[in-house]
Amino acid sequence: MGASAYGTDFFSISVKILPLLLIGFTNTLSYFFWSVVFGLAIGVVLGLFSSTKIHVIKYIVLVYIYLMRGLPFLIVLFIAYHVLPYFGVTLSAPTAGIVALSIHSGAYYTEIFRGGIEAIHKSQRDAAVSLGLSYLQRMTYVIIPQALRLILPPLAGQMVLHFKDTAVLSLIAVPDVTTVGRQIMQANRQPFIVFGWVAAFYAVICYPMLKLSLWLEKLVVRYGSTA
Amino acid sequence: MPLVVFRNVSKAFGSLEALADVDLDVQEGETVIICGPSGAGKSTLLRCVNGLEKPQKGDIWVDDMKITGDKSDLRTARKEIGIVFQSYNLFPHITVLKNLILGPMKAKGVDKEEAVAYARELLNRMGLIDKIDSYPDELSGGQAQRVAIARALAMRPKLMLFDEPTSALDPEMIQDVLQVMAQLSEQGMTMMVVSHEMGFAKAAADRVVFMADGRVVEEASPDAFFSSPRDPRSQKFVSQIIGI
Repeated sequence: MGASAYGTDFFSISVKILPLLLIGFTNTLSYFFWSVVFGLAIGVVLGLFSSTKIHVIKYIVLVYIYLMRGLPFLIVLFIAYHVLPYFGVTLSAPTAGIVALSIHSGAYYTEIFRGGIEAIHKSQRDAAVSLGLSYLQRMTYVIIPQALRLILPPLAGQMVLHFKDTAVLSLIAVPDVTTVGRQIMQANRQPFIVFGWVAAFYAVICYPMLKLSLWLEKLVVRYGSTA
Repeated sequence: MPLVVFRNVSKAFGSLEALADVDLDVQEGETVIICGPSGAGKSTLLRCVNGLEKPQKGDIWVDDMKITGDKSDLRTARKEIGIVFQSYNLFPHITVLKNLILGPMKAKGVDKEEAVAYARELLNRMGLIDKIDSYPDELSGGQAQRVAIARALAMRPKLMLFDEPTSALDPEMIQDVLQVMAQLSEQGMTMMVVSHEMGFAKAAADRVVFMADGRVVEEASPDAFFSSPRDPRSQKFVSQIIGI
């Protein structure tokens, strides 16, 4: 098989497999999207909770964070898919995947939000309180806008990790781009071409997000001073 | 009734007694300087006036509103009490103008047009109208502190608290800030000022309150206090600040 013959193979194989991979990729994007929505919701709510003075809530949030950070994502996923049925909760593979991703990433998002809010100096709170602003007004106009600058760069970085974690869902056979790629590879024995394309799909999302994270970091350095 | 009333106010941080049985009255229109060695409880006393610190014992009233205990009175009272911090505490993410109108618009419900007009008037008075669209990190220390004073005044307070307002400033900027404060005092604003600025105290203050170890040790007119302090601790303090 000469170079030109292989080149022809490459194109003909690619044309054949790309539509299938694209379907898998849209599934990957959908798992990512929904688990970002739920993960961020967890992060925002628990991040705000753990910056309050209520100790019980703080403690519960802490246990959750440690549990999630101490477990490999794959184990969280297996618990959601294989263990929950014993407690009467049977989830489809994609749902179990989204749930596991949300809960796992939510812990990291919580840490990022909590850190951002706590990094805003107490003196800013003092000033806002002294103007007679309510808790909600303080958060809305003073604390959160400043915290966002600190939160966004690590958040974008965490999302890259989160996106790459979606590939792990292939181990419970959700029809994501990795699973589709593996199935095609088992049929056509062309791992180089198949996984080359699969990798390209991941890179298309991850690379811009990494760039965004770096860009946001520079932006924060410029506007980051808290006078 | 005096504008500010402290009755048997005590506050401890752990085993450290920050305020011990403080009784203090401040009359409307009065300018009171609070001084004393570091750790005397001056800042704690000031921060108790608008509820940033909560005393464990005793009661505080401002303009007949109880600051201690009931919370709803506190937020209402805070809208009448301006405070200026040592480190300015301006909001760094918004412009000078927005720093000035945030409180009036959100906490008091003043409409935007009126809030902006008054903010402009205050900045004019401070000689800082050209900084109206600047961000706090573009200001010098003296400018930032005058903006902070303007932010407090924008709420049209009845009482102004100053917590070491010139301690973080370079010497050449201190006068700008003290001048603004002296003008305010002259215009009849009720002021409680934690400061060691003797010149300002002599020029603008009606009374000096000297604190040590969480207690009010001596109260006197500025002239009497600085020329002939009675308590040994006051004597030591005065000789030290004159010595510098």
